[in-house]
Amino acid sequence: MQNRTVEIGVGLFLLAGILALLLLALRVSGLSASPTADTYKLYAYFDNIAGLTVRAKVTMAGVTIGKVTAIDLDRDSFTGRVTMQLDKKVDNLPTDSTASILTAGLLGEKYIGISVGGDTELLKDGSTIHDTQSSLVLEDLIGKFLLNTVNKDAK
Amino acid sequence: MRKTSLIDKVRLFGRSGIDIVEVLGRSTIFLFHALLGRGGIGGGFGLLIKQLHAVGVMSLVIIVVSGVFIGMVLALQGFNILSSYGSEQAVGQMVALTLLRELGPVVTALLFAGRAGSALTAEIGNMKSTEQLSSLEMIGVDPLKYIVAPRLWAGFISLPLLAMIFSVVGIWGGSWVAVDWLGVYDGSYWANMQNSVTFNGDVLNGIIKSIVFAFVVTWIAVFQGYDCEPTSEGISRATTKTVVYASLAVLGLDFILTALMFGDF
Amino acid sequence: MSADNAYAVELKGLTFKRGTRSIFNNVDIRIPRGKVTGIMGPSGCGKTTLLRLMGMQLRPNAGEVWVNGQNLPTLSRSDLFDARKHMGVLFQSGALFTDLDVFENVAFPLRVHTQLSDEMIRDIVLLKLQAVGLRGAIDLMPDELSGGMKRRVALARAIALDPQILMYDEPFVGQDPIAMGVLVRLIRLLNDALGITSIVVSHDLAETASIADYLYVVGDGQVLGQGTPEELMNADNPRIRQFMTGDPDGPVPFHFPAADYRADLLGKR
Repeated sequence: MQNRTVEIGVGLFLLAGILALLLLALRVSGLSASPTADTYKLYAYFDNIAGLTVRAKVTMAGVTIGKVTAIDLDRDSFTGRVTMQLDKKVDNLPTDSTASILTAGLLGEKYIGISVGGDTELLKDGSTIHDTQSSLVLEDLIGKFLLNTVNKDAK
Repeated sequence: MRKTSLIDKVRLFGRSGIDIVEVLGRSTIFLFHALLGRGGIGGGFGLLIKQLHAVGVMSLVIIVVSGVFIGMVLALQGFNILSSYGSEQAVGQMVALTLLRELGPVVTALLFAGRAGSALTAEIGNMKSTEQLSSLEMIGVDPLKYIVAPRLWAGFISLPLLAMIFSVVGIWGGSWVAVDWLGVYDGSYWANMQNSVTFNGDVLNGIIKSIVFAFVVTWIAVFQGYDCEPTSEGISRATTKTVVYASLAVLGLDFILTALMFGDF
Repeated sequence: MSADNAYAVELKGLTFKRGTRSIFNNVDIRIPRGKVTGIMGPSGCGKTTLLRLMGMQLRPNAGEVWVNGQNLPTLSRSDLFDARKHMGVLFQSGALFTDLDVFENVAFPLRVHTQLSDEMIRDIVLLKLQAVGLRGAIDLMPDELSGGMKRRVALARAIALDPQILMYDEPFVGQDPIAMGVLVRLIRLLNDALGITSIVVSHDLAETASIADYLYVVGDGQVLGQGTPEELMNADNPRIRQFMTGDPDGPVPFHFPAADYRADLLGKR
């Protein structure tokens, strides 16, 4: 009888451990159970990707539709090339869609937002988004703002 | 007091160095025999279950209680600091990352060394001093297989599970303070956490850490018991050694592991 | 070379050192089969060490330990554990497994070494406990037993596998006269009834001499004397004589070696 309680205790302990792992995986790290196989690739060139990292999310209208899988420098144009993997379900993006690097909150992480264009032709696996908007760099912004003020004063 | 000459001091120093190397070698051979000798775990599955109960289930209460409180404190402290930057939504990710990467594995290992490790040392030391180990040997049962191996495996299995349970209840405790008490929006607590915590980078690395700690703490505890002087003084000294050595080993290894995992080199 | 079958245990040229201190120096001991052999000597002379050497729990620095025709130091770890199944040891403290009750303690060797059914094991355990007179204590835990009862349960456990050699480590220490009398009777009885070889290590002269067929007296890392109890009583070796008669001073001095008494008192260091 005493043996039984020990065994039940150990069984519950192991179950609790497995449950903890599941919670960590699903609830805490947001690991989705759905397979990531159904995706397609898109490229985008940015003048400045400052702060964007691999695995950053790609969103459209605030909904996550994919993630950044690689970032490298294009040797010919000296621009940053970002490789994205998008959900196969979102396969109706027009070719003139815009990709811009956005920031979540003032100091939050960078992500890519895609806004839809009006073209009838659609982006396919391996296509490139040409219309891009680079990362907002705080120093540049302040610089521009100062310049504007000086120019206004000059008038 | 006798004066010791410089030569004597040098000699003593060298001797203690040799002693340390000897203990290291002995404990490795001990581990090797216990885990890899013939026949796997002596006495089979039943003994392992019994030890899992003694080592794992009995440590559950202290782990859960400490986990809840540490999670609550983290949320409280984090909220105070983060709210001065206006980003108190990030409290969820702060609590989760701190627990998963550091406090979960480390605090669990330290508590485990104090609760289960010292008990293992004292138990085995007591068996040694009452000649139960000798008696087993003479019955023709290898105590390394029958006594040591099940305890080692129980420790290896229990500590990672305990560390995960610790992290989960800690995150839950944090959400209790942050969401229910301090009024952080429920959605942003969890969403921020999910955005910043990665399974491979954070959860898995934390588990790897706790597996390493489990190995080291259990090894130290069981070896100290097996190797202790079979007197009541010897047992109490060995128990102290277990807690001190295991804690130091955990903290030292934690730095090395963190540097390897998150140090970017 | 195989050992003589008339002897259950033979130690040949045995040398054992602790650090640099020599505990045994080239000792030869032969334990006759089927008899009760006493090994006696003053406290701290290494009697228990000798038992551990016979069970190969300690490894000798030199020499041979023949038990049942096997030279133990040459055996592998696993063969050694097999060889030990034929030996039973009654430890000084009894060494019962504290987390098991009396029944499980006695059943333990049967469970790990045999595939007997539960009913068979129960019968054997009852038989062995009946032999030591403790069948009534079958459900008690070791910490509910007195010292003498613990030793008797341990004895039942030691004979559970019907060993050929039974070793007793200081069986009479710390026992009241009744318990001592019970143990003395049991050792003799078990030896004769089961036809096993008994080795009694003790410094209790009267009790050991009363049951032993043959005696060894060890001291200073050597065998000081051997023979039947009567022979030893009349030995002329002054050290044996001192031990057998219990003189406080003699070849074994009353004083621990020290500097000159007067010089010490006057503080001239």
